[in-house]
Amino acid sequence: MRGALVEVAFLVVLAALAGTGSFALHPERPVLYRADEPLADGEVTADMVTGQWGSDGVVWIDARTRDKFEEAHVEGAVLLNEQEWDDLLFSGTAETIFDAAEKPMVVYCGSYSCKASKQVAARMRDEMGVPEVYFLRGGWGAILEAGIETEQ
Amino acid sequence: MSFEKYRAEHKVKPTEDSIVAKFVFKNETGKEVRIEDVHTNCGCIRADSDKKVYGAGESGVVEAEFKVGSFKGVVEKTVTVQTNLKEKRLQTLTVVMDIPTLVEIKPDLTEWLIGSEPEPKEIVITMKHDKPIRVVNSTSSRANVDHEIVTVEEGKIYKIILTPRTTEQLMLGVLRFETDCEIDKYKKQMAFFGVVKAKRNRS
Repeated sequence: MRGALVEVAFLVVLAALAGTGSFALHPERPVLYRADEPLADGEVTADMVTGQWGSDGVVWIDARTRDKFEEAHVEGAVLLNEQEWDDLLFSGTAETIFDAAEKPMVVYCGSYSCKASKQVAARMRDEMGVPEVYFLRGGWGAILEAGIETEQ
Repeated sequence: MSFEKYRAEHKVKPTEDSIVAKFVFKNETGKEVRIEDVHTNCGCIRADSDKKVYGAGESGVVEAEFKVGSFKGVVEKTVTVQTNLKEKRLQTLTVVMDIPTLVEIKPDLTEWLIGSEPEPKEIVITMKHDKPIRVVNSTSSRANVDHEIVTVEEGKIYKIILTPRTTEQLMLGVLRFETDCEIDKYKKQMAFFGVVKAKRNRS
């Protein structure tokens, strides 16, 4: 019994060392401090969205490039990025957004470091007058991690 | 490994659809440097190094191409270069673009408080081009908001007068207008309007 416990403890320590070493050396390791950064004004997490409104209770706005949107996007999301801002709004996206304006809107972009979602949310609020719009912490990665429905 | 500059500023011409910023660097580490990744903080800017491995003393360049699209004003985007170096593993390059506004719209958002007097309000359009630009037509996405184009100075200054028929209901809408600007991206213009619960401070 004791021998088995020692072996288990040894394996746990070995696994922890391997994990720590992998984390230290991996070129794309996540930065741990980000989990503690307070939310910015207007920023929400995926848990907040699903918990407060449900994924279906908001309008998702995709601020990424068109090719990323076409690869996959949140089910029912509306594409609105800064590169195509004028063309998209001129061709009918404005009405799509305005017709749904009684719902909160959540803008997402590619990743944690991407600023596009914050900028698009600010423009929707300041230029378009959309009353309730937020931007998602963690972007597309957070959506996948939360298991929010996506489509192509 | 150090770059000649970490910030590139570019005044975009109205006719330019994209700009290229070049960041030259030199490997002064005394050993081989490998570029592991070059990534950007926006899908609107693509960047890469001219090759992946640089010998001691060798120079290289990171080139960033930015698609102007619908961006306006001063736009700042970053490129992060990741190498195999333990010190200065990540280096950030900044591209700053000043994109001209040829058609100035003020205000870009016109609001009436719910229940307030449905009074006419003006949007002033000023052309900031060395050639005349005319407003040729306009449409409102809301049938209950009337609009009228007034020429103040042909090719230079116009007013669009918006008048809601009622302010009893919340509503958001867009006024689309077209110009005869010879540069395509300045042909389609928009201003937004709405009946709102309360005017908000803009960010």
